[in-house]
Amino acid sequence: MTVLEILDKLKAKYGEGIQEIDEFRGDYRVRISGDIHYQLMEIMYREFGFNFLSDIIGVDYPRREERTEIIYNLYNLNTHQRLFIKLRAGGKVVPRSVTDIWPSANWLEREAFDMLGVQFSHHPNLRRILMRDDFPYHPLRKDFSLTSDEVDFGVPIRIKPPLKGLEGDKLG
Amino acid sequence: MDNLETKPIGPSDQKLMEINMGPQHPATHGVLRLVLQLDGETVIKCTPVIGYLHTGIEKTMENKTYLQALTCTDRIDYLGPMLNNFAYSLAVEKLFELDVPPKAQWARICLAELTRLNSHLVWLGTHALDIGAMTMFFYTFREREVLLKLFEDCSGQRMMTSYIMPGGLYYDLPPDFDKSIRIILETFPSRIDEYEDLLTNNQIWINRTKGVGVISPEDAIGYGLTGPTLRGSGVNYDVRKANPYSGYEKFDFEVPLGSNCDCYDRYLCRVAELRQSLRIIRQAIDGLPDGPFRSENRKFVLPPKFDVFTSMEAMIHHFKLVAHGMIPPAKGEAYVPIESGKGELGFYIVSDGTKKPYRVKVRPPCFINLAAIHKMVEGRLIADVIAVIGSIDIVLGEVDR
Amino acid sequence: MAIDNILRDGIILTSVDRVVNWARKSSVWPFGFGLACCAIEMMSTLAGKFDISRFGAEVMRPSPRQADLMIVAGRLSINMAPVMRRLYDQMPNPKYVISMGACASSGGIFRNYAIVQGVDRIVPVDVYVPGCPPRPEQLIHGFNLLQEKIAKQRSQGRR
Repeated sequence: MTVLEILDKLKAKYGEGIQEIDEFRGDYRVRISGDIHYQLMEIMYREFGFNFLSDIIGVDYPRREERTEIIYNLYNLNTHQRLFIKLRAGGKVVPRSVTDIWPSANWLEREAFDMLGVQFSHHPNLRRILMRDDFPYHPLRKDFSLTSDEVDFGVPIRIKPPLKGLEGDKLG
Repeated sequence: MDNLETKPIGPSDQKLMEINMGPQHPATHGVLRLVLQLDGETVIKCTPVIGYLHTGIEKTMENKTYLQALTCTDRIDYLGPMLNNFAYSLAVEKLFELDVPPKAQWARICLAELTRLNSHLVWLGTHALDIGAMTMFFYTFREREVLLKLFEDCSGQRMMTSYIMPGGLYYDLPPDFDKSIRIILETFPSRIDEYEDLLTNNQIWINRTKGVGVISPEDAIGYGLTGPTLRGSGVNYDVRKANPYSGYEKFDFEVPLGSNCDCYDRYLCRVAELRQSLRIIRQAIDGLPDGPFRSENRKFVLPPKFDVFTSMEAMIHHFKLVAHGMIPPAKGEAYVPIESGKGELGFYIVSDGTKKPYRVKVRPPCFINLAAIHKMVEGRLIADVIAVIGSIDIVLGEVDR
Repeated sequence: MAIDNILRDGIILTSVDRVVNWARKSSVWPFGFGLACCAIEMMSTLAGKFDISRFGAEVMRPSPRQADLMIVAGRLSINMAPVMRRLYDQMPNPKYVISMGACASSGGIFRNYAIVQGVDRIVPVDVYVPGCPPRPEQLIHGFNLLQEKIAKQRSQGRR
């Protein structure tokens, strides 16, 4: 079954739930709505044989109401097909964790939560993974600045006096 | 010695002890912290705590142009820097629809396999050092010096080369590239035989690694393992064969598989991969074509520095590309996976049409491989934890990014 | 008091200083705090070709309580900074710190929220070795500079 046939079957089954199908440089990306998210993931695993979850990518679009776009990178080990499934989460849309379908999602979802602040329901252990547990920010959000000036590290840092002739150490 | 009891002792009615294998430890290959719940010497529960090397590389890459971000990619998996450059360059080339000349493609494969050799040599040295065979460390680092000298001849830097760039290579190959590689091809096979002599049939090595760290193929696929950690369990997934890139379909090599799903099989897989890498390098150097080493598409790729000094158009292109950056022709997302020394590595680049990427996500093989460690060590002894960490081959720079 | 002055700066104690400093600088045992990429070049320095044990750094102690010199090799993340301070405090006196690499000396190429911009914000550093990563010869040169620094110090009283 080619990827296009899989997409036709999904469109036939879910209709409105499949919001957009996009093809860019040979890869297919499907944007779905939050209502059909978990059933679609189960169908991808059981019926279409996508038994390998490569990655869960989170992208932050702060101007949208659902500010995080989650992209699931699914792969079929037997037919070597790859499909990307996108979901806009945040706000009222809280996706369900797919850890019981693919156990690799455990840490990948924790990282998405830590870096971008997107919540997953029914996750066995949704805590921060890369930063310490009480870190108050989500670093990969676009409104978190890259450099250190406004952010409290939680570690006492001795401030060096600014060099003469420069504005202080601010990144341009 | 064959009837030695290898099953661990079951839990007694004493209370469990929680012990911390701290971030600074000689055998955790970096700053990895494991919280172990122990009953005597048996591990009941193992929780990795990571993040002690978190660098914010992905966020840093969002603030740099596509060519500047190449230098950040070296530092992710610092044992195989050219493989990271390769994965990033392939993703950027897919996004920009750049063509790469054949000489650059073959040279990239040659360098990628040399980097894989490099990465596996460090793995072998440190894994054996942890288990107690200290001599291996000195032998493998001796081999590594030859390879690092070759990288230095190519690019000027021993480790963080940033040599494979989007569009081709950063400099032309050095004139004695062919000669240096043929010397390597002559001397390395006997060295690998030396390593196998020391370890493969060594009773102590077999006792420490056979039956340790077992993970079944179904669990391995579910946990998203890739690389020799997956192939040690018998699952045949190698990105070079499954989704070939940069001309790998023209090369003839085998993918070694294990059958017992334990540390010993992963060791055998990696040593066999060393030999297969030499095979690929021989084919690459025999068939290396002539021609330009960088793409001619001057809208996106810098001209070689020598041309910038002599030709006017090249100078103008150089100025425009450095001052304004590479602007992608379309908004979109690109992902090209490659087989790095640890597993499937890929960069997912989201572009919004400006000269800086909007989001760069690394698919980190070591991070995902490490998540399955609790399945491999629960019920075993503490000494087995050391063997398992070594056999998964983690690099904390990639786990924490 | 006059007698104290003579005892502190007199010839007898200067010779004792020289002997003690010679002993100290010829057997500096490093505590390899290898964090990231520079740790691999540090391992290359310990290996056969660029042997650092010919200068006295015979063994790399895994425990801070048995080491003299902390080589901070690699980028120090803010999550790791309290751990590093604790390990530094566990080392007995006299102790020295070499900051190896650009990331340890000043933050390197990572000018962001997650990396401490120079480990001298956390511990006092004796020798800075630049490079990304520094060649093994550079690290050995830094080590020799540290040995010269040890040779000049006073062995009695506070450092």
